[in-house]
Amino acid sequence: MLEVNDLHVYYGNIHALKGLSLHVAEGEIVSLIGANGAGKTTLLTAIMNQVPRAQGSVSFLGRPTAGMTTPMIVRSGMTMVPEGRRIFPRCSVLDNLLLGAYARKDKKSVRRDLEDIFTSYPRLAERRRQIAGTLSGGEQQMLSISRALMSRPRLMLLDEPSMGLSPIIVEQVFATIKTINEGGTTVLLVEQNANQALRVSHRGYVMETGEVVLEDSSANLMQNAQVKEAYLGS
Amino acid sequence: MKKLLARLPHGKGEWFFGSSGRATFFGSAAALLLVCFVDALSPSATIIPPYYKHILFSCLLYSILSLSLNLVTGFVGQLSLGHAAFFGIGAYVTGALTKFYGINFWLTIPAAAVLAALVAVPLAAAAQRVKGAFLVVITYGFGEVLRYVAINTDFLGGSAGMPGIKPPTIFGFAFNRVGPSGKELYILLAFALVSLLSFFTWRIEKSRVGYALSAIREDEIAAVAMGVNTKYYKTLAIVLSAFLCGVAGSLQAGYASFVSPEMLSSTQSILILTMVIVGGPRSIKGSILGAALLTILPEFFHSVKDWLGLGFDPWMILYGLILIILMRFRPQGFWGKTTVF
Repeated sequence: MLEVNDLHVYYGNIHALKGLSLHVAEGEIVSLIGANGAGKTTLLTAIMNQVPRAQGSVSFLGRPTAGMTTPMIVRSGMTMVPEGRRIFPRCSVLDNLLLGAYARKDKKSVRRDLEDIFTSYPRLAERRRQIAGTLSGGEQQMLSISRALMSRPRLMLLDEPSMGLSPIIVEQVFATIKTINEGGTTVLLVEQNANQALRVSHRGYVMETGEVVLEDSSANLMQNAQVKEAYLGS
Repeated sequence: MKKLLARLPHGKGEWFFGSSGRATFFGSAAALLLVCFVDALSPSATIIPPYYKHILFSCLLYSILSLSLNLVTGFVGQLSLGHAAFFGIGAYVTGALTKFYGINFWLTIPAAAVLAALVAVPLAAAAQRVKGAFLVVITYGFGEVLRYVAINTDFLGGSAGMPGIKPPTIFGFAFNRVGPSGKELYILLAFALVSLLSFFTWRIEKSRVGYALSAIREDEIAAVAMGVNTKYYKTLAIVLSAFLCGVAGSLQAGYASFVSPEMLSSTQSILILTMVIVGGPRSIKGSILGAALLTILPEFFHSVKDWLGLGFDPWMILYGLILIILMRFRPQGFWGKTTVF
């Protein structure tokens, strides 16, 4: 579904991605773990064509994305839940969700999807008129994920969904990700919380300073001595 | 104080349109016609002095400007301290075309608006990359540069300005020859523009464009992730706003029959911005009432000064006080719903 080949990205003199390759197949949850500054967020923004790539290619659904703008990529079925949630704080919950469907033109099915989201997340339904900035951190994360769902993505990129949330809420967020995946959405999950990420995902990549250093099934990665030492803290 | 300010009407029902809005529109139109032509009914006495009509025109003119700036500051959340430049460009285009080339006033309006919009394109390009304080400095510099261009262009009258601009005509009658004071047609024209612009703003707010602009204001990175073409909409807002300021400039040139570089000054830009902020960004009512408030109050206190024979203008003190109290207790402005910065 998503193919990244030999991707290079520079920020001025900084070589942020050094020939990174990965692939995500339809129906998978793939997690990408790595320390701060490994280039995880850069990779996601590069996939969404928000930063220029110096070299390499990305293709989505078999088509190269070079030359596509971010809105075109969103319309083609990819969406991103940005790091730190980034909801629209002074808009209502409802408006946030409607903005998630911004790239879609089919008003009727948007309404239906909205009802689906309100059924699955009754908290958001209760608060649909509330200003989004007044929600709790967990609710905001749910809103951010729901907003991304409103674009009817085939592939969802999640950037650090556990950031700044309490352990119980983190559990809920990962359970939600699993449910979304079971509903047919492919997920690429970028996380520092390697433990949780590897537990829900099928496969995983380990990133260090702009490169993939390890790639395996999540079960194997959790047994890997290196990964245990560096990321699982045991 | 906080409670009192919080009780001000806000939120539901914008002026001019919506369920209660049509009444406002027809009501204010009727009131305006009465004010304009009541003197024509009794030719012996002047009921409403021309001075009041001048203030009325100024209120409407500044409403056009604040509504235009509201598209940028209210909807996109970008501060601009250069909007008077677009106003000035419009005024100079109309002035020069009518005076030196004898072109009909009405034909100069589109020319003025288009030139103002074109000049806004480089500013829009800058606004793609910077925001907040940086954008404030850039727009300020932009306005000042254009003011100096006006001051140093002898063809445009230099620092003395350009007098003797011909008034617009309708069916062969010059605007300033119609009505008891000669200001009535200008007032009606300005009112028509304010109404149109209010309607337009009201339609934009709940449209796809309005949603896109709110998203950009709230979080630009997230807006991009939602598939909003931020570059396009940011440019659109600034260029459209400049276009409308250009129209206002034309109107002012025809009304005053005089254009000066002071129209482009940063003082003007700050005044327009303050009108939007005091009234309440994102609110149509706020932009109109903010403009009216900051046009009428200085004039009123100027007369107070004369009546009491004060050695200073009490408005200057009150102005500062009002701004401080407002920002402390009601940062969203008198008629605003939420803050935008």
